[in-house]
Formats: sequence, structure tokens, C-alpha cells
Amino acid sequence: MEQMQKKKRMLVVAGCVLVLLFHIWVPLRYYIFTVDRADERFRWRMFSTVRMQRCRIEVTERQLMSNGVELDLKVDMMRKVQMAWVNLMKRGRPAVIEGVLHFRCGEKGVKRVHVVRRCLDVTGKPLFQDTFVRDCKRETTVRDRQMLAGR
Amino acid sequence: MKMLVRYFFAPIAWVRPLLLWRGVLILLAFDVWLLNISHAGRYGVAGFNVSHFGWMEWLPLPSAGLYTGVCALTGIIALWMAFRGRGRLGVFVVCVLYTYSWAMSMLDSYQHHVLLSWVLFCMVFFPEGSLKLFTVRDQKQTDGCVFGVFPEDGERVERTDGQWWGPAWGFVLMCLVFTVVYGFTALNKSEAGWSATLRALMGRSERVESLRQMFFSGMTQDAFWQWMMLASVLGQLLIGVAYAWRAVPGLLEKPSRVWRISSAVILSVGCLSALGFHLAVETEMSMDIGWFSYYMLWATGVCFFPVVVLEGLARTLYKIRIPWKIPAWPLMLRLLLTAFLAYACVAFLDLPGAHLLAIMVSLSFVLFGGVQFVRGREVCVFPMAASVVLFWASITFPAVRFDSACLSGKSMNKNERCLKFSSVRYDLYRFWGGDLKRRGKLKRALHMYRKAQRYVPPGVRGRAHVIRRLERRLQQ
Repeated sequence: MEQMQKKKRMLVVAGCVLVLLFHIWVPLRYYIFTVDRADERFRWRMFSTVRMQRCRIEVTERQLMSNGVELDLKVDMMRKVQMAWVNLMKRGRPAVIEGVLHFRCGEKGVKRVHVVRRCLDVTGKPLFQDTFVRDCKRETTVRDRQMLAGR
Repeated sequence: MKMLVRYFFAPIAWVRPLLLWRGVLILLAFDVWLLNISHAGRYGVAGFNVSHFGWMEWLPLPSAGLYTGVCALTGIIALWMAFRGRGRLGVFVVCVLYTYSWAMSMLDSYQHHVLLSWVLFCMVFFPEGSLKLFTVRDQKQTDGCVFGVFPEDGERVERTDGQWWGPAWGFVLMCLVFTVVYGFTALNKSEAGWSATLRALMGRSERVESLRQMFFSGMTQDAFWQWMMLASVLGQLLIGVAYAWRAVPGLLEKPSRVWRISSAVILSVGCLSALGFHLAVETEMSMDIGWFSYYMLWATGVCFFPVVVLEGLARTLYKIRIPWKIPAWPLMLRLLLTAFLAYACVAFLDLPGAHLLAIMVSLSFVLFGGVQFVRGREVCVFPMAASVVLFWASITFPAVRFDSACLSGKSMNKNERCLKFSSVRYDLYRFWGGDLKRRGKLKRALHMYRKAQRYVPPGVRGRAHVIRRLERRLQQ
């Protein structure tokens, strides 16, 4: 009986240790591996410097018009998706930006989607400009970052 | 390994996990009802959604009805368990439902919701007990409610001072989860530039500015906020250490005086740091984080306050009596009446998916009661009925909200009041209407605003002016 209780307790402790290791590993990956700092989910980064960045987005789409001409048109994303998604795009959430690009490519006539995200730090200094270009036919997204320090 | 086993199975005063269990479940119920449901209109808009986990894309697209149902059910089951005083399976179901409520969409990216899921997960493994909050004054055991003050199952060691202590490894695991979280928040706050972030979050607080002028007038603004940053990093580390230390005092049967004093200092400093930090976050910071501070203040009190204080609180709560008698009707009749009450309370609430939710709640009560009946166990229907009535009341009546800006002296418009009324359905439909208007769906927006107008809480202007403008635009 005592042996069984000892074994049970060791199993419990082993389980707890595994849970804690997982709990530590998930946020630690952000500091060791992550290149894109915009996705802070599950990292216990509340009130972070990244969260306080102020960003704007501009979305342009190459659309095939009814007369066969392709035009680059600015898109007001607030009229296309719920406002909260636009805020997440401003925060640079990679999955949301990718999801929106894929979503807009699903619209009839859209050939290419171009998103520009420009960010300032909490003091108002320009930080960087991200550009995402999705080719709807090839279903590929090209991403580029340009640092704006000093501009 | 032996040390780890001793640590996880060190005796803990059982009043701590039992009070934490109840407090978190009660807070959670009202949190999801009063704060979350009003955002249901965001879900599934334009057929677009991104879940937190890729595999969830195979699940049905979230909708307003689905989100409302999940939140409502989470709260009803949470409150049911809190009143019942036990129910590992119930807490597990609450954990799964609550996790699903935020995981289904990145629209909910609050990190403290993730922490709450971790806490609920740990709570599944808390020691069960029958420390009930409410009792029904009925001499005959007519409703199967078993009342008692002390834990019934699990290992326990009664100390000579009459307090119940025993192993509570789920509680210890939760403390270590908090330690890890505070460790990483300290790491986050030690990043270059965080002092500027802190200044942006707290700089507008008149109280903080008064403190700075009173005690740090010789310092420049930059130097002051650097010191504040260091203080916040140190505070987080002290809190983390205190949570990890929580199980340590129970390890020694006869601790030395030095050991007892050191433990008391570590736990007290951690407790004060946690209270100070979370009160400051609630009153001085300019970010909306829902009720997160209240959860953490409750956790701090329950984890660090002296046992004698917590037991006094528990005994006081135990004295609450509901002055009615439950007739000695057969169990199935009582269950069916409760299920009917649940349907009546929920189905006509004018919420998305209310009818389906009402059926699910009623069925779950009947199913649970039926299973308990087959197993020969007694069933107390009062917790089920109470949870569903409180859900109905939370949605039907305006809630009073205290604006924490009043405590901080943050600059407020002179017309702003500290106590404000809010209504779940008013917020739900006006937010929904606002989104539809922004996207050019004016007819549906008008419909939503008209619904919102039916539930305008006292002291609030309402949306009559928006309705008039929309009607004029649609007529053109």
C-alpha cells in the first residue's frame, strides 16, 4: 500500500514537472528562436514594448475591372472585416495578416494584395515598415522589412 | 526526486485551495457573462476568422451564437460547481469551455485569459471538500444537500490548532505556474525601452505624479521612470519567489525560529508586492484588462494571508443561509422542474442562440442528475437553479460598474461618474450595430441599434440619435 502510494506520488510529480517544463518552454522560445517579435501570444508579455508600438496599415489590391483593366485600388479594411481584425493587423500578428491576405484573394477579381505596416515606438520615433505582397494566383506571400530609425 | 515529492506533497492549509476554487469560479462566471458576451457580435463576421491553433480551423466557424453559448455555459457550470462545493469533472468542463472561448478566435488575445485556463487546469486537481458557501435551512435532508465545514476526502492531517492541513499538489502546481508567469513578466519588463512604456501607461496618473514630486523631486523624469522600471522588475521577482515558497513552510514539522522568520518575511514581502502591483495596475494604468486584477488580488489574499484570517472568512461565508424550505419531492421531479426553470430563464433572454443554449443547459442538468441517481448518490438541485437564475439576472438587469479611474485621480471629464450602469444586451447590440454600420450594412445595423435601445441602462444616453440618422439615410 505504501509502495503504491509512493509510486503514485512519483507519477504525479513527474506529471507536474512535465507540465511546468512545457509552461516554461513555450514563452522561452520567443526569446531564443523567434525572429518576428510581433506574435507575443503565450509569452506572458503583458504591457510590453511591442504592445505599445503605434502602427498604421495601408491595404492596396490589384483588381481586375469589368472592362478587363487591372487597377491598384486602396481598400478600407474596416469595411471588409470586423474592426478588431484591423487592430490585430496593425499589431502585426502574422497569422492574422496572412489570413486577411488569403481572405481578400478569395474575393472575385482580386489579383494581388499589398499591405504596408508602418510602426512608431512608444515615444513616437519611427521604427520600421513591413510590406506584405500576396500573389493570389501563386498563393505566395513575400514579406520585407525596412528599418526607419533616424527618419 | 525525493525532495520534489516532499515539496509537491507538503501539507497546505486546505482553506487556501478551497477558497481559491470558489472565488475563481464565482469571478469567472460573472466575468464571462458581464464582459465577454457583449463582444459576441464580432465573431464570424464576413465569414472570416483566425483561430489561435491551426487545427481549430477544422471546427465550425465561430459565430455570435456559438460564442454566447460557450460563455454562458462556462459561467453557469462554474457557478453551479462553486455553489455545489465539489466537482472535478465540472471544473474540467469549465476549463475546456473557457479555453475554447478564447482559443476559437484571435479576436480574444488577452494573455490573462490563457493564465486563467492554466489556473482552471490546476484547479481540477485541487483537494475536494464540502466547504459550502450556502446552505438551505431545512432540517430534513429533502434535497440531498450535504452540509459540512471540513474536507471529506483526500489525505488530511489535522493540526493541533484545529485547522485542516493536507497535501494539495494541484495548488502547489498552480503556485509554480504563477512563479513562471511572474518570472517571464519580470524578463519582459527588463527590456530596453520598457521605462518609456511604463511612463506611457502610468504617466497620466495624477497620484503617480504627486508621488514623484513629493519623494523624487530631485530626479529627472527619465531617471524616475528608470527606477520605477527596476522596482517593477524586482517586485515581479519577489512575487514569483513568494509563490514558489508557498509550499516550503509545510515541509518541516518543527521549523527553527530563523526558518520561521525567513519564511514569514519572504511570504509577506511577496504578498505586499503582489497587492501593490495589482492595485496599481487596476487604478493607475491606462489599459483595459477586464477583471484580471481582481483574480490576482483574490489569489494573493488566499495564497498569502494567514490561515486564521482565511478560516474566519470561510466560516463567516458558511453562515449565509437561504431562508426557504425545499419540499420532499422525488428526485426526477425536482430535476425536471429545475430543467424547466433553466429553459425558462435562458430561452427568452434575447441573446444569439438562446434557445439552443437553454436546451443544452436543461439537458445537462437532467443528465447530471440522472447519472448521480443511477449511481445512488444524492443530488442537490439548489446550486443548479441558483446558477441559472443568477445568469438570467446578470443579463436582464443592468450591472453597476465602478470606474477605477476614480481611485487614481486620473484626469476624468467632470461629467464622468465613478459608478456607472452597464447592460450586457445594450453593449452587445450597439457594438454589433456599430460594426455593421462601419461595413455599410445599414439595414442590419438599424435592426441591432433598435434592439440595443430596448436595453439602455440608467444614466446612459442610448442610441436614439444614431437610429434617427440611420433611418434618414435609408430613406434617401
